[in-house]
Amino acid sequence: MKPSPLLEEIRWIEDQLGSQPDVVAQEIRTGDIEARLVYVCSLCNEKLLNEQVLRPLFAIGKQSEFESYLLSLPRSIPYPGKEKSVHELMYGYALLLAGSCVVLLDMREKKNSAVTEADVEKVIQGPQFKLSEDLETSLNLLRHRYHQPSLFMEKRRIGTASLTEIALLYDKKRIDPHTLELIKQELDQVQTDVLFAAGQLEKLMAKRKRKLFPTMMTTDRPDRVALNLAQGKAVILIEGTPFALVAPTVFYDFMSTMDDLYQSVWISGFLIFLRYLGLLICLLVPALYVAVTAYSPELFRVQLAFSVAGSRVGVPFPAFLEVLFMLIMMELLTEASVRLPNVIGSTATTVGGLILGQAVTQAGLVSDIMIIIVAAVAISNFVIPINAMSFAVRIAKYFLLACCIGYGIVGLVVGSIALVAYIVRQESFGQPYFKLFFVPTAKEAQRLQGGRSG
Amino acid sequence: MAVGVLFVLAGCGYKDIDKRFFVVSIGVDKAVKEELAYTVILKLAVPQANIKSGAEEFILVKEQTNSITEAIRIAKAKVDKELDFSHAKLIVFGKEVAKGDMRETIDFFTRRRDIQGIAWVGVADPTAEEVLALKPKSERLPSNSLFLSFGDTGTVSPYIITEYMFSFRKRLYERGLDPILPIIRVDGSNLFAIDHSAVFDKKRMQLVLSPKETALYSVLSGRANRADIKIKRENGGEFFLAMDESHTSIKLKRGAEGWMRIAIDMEVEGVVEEVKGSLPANELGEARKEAEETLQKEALNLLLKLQKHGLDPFGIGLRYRGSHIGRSDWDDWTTHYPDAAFDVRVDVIIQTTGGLH
Repeated sequence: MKPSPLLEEIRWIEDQLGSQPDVVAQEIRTGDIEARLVYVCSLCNEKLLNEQVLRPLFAIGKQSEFESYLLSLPRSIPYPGKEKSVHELMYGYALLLAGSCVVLLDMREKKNSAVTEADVEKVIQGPQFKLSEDLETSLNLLRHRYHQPSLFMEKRRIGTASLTEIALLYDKKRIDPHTLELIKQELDQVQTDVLFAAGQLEKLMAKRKRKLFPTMMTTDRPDRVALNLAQGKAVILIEGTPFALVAPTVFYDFMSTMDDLYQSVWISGFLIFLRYLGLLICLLVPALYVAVTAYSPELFRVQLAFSVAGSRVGVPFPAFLEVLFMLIMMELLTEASVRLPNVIGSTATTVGGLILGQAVTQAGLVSDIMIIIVAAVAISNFVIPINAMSFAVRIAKYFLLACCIGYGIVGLVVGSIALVAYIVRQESFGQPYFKLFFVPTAKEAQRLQGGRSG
Repeated sequence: MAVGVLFVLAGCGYKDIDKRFFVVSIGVDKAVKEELAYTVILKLAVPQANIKSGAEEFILVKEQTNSITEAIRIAKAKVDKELDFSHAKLIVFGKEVAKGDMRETIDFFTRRRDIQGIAWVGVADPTAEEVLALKPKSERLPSNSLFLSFGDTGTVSPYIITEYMFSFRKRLYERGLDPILPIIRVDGSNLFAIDHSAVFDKKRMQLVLSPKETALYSVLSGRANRADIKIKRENGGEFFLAMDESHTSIKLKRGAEGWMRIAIDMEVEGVVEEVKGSLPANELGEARKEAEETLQKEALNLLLKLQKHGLDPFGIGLRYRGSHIGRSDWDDWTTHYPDAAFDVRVDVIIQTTGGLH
């Protein structure tokens, strides 16, 4: 008997998978059913497979009845062709050929679907758990926070090797169709071998690769994602990372926390004010220190000028080297404590922060005031809630410092103008980056409405 | 392109704060040598790592020259760090210098861009050197006690006239508004005594006001609104009125025949602070009347004294010029001021007799 063309294709698929130890290709015979089952056992839930496929198979024992059982099983999808099937098998689908009927059965099992506590963006009183590394679990978390039939989802696979599954989510009723179009275009042009993280996808999607400030937000908070969906933004979930990408985002979004929503007006207003103050301190203080002490000490009041001068007595370096030296020490310390395992991490901070800080002033290498400045800069930098923005600001301050070293206060003014001009020039999927609040004005809302109906 | 130009324009160079010598105050005295004009004294602060009370250190650099510029050039050659005048907040002229041509002396200070216009100016009695050399016990930074005396952050007293350099220069040139400066003396016991003041004409010091007159001037000119006045009672006792609030308005009246009256209305609110003898509550009305009379008499005396010397630190002449049109306004004023009549009205409100009832 000549084997059927379907069986030929199955054999071809089996060849593609090769004889790996975790590839299962099984012949099954019972009653008048002659079936062949192929799957990768490390990706599949074999218990489920056993319950939903093998047992009914033996219980039914009739070809026609079993076929209709298979087709009505919600986990089954029709056979998409041999090349595609190979891909699906690699995601955890099982291929079942029973007589003349071929289906793919969703038997995926993910071990990384745990929902754990949010530890990157903490809020005091609010939802405590973050998105999961598993796409389906994350979707579950999101759907449970955003019960709208207008929440649309498009799935794609990105990365020629990793074939990472991503989901583009948006509220069809609220999103600006032009923005959505732009996001889709950017997603289309992404080319990479592997994709593992949200920041990576953001970098791949960016038109201008060398930008300092993030134009898409990376967040792992389901409440923030749901809020952004309600604000008419698009969200990209990525399989294998709890972080989601939100676009378009403006500068203000990076300075906001979910706590702003959960606290009373005055408290959240104060917190926002503190955050912007922290931003300014972090950006300006090192630069101002150099500009004022070395170029225009008349800006200090006389008493302060003397205590600064007094604390610098005996420091062998010019002020800018002192600042650079301490800032770089601080960056090293921050970087070291991020990379170190938690157990050793506290040693690094103690040695770096306490011992080094104390010793360096006693040795007269750095002035006391400098230590205060560096500490203030470090602390205020951590006030910026979104990590990507916090990093960007960390780098931007060196630009301002460089301007001040060369040109004093004038340098600071010109440098600040240049920085603001740079930020203003940024754009996030059609949205001006420095637009303070994302909520559309009445005029824009009207335009949006017109755009949708037209 | 425009940004590039800005960078080229950025002025003075990089000089660390510890490589600068801050000149905190400048003194100008008459030179000891006959043929030279000035002795210029620069007080340089020596910054210290640990600032302790009374442990301040400074250097006085003294130069005798014909001009202040020369003196500073020479001083620069003597010190090891860059002289920085940006914190020169006090300029003191010796009494002898104040009796000379002030327009000439102050010229240097107003032209230098790094000496701030808000530097305080004072007259030192007898010499600027003595004032600058004093090291009060409470001082943590050189000259800080004088800064605190003149600034609003420290003591506030009607006896201390505060005059900025820009204002002093303006008063030297403005017709109808004469300069007045505080006189700084060294009180033997390691303290400064600033309670007299010196009134200038357009060139030199003319008149010294006593502490009482100085306080009254401060109140009348609106520089201070708190002062204490001693009031003698008819029954032989006396009491002190501590002003809380005072307001003065000056009005000019001219008759067709050329007479001129200067009406001064003064409103004072205060509390009784110290009583010698007795002041029962039912006599408050009388006490008030007595206070009004005393103030009125004292104010009139001060005004007449200034009028006699042809001085006008209140700026009444400027007010006249401001409210009268015509080329001859200044001549009118100078002809009529010497025999203008003053009309002083005082209105006193005594709020309480103090904490005692």
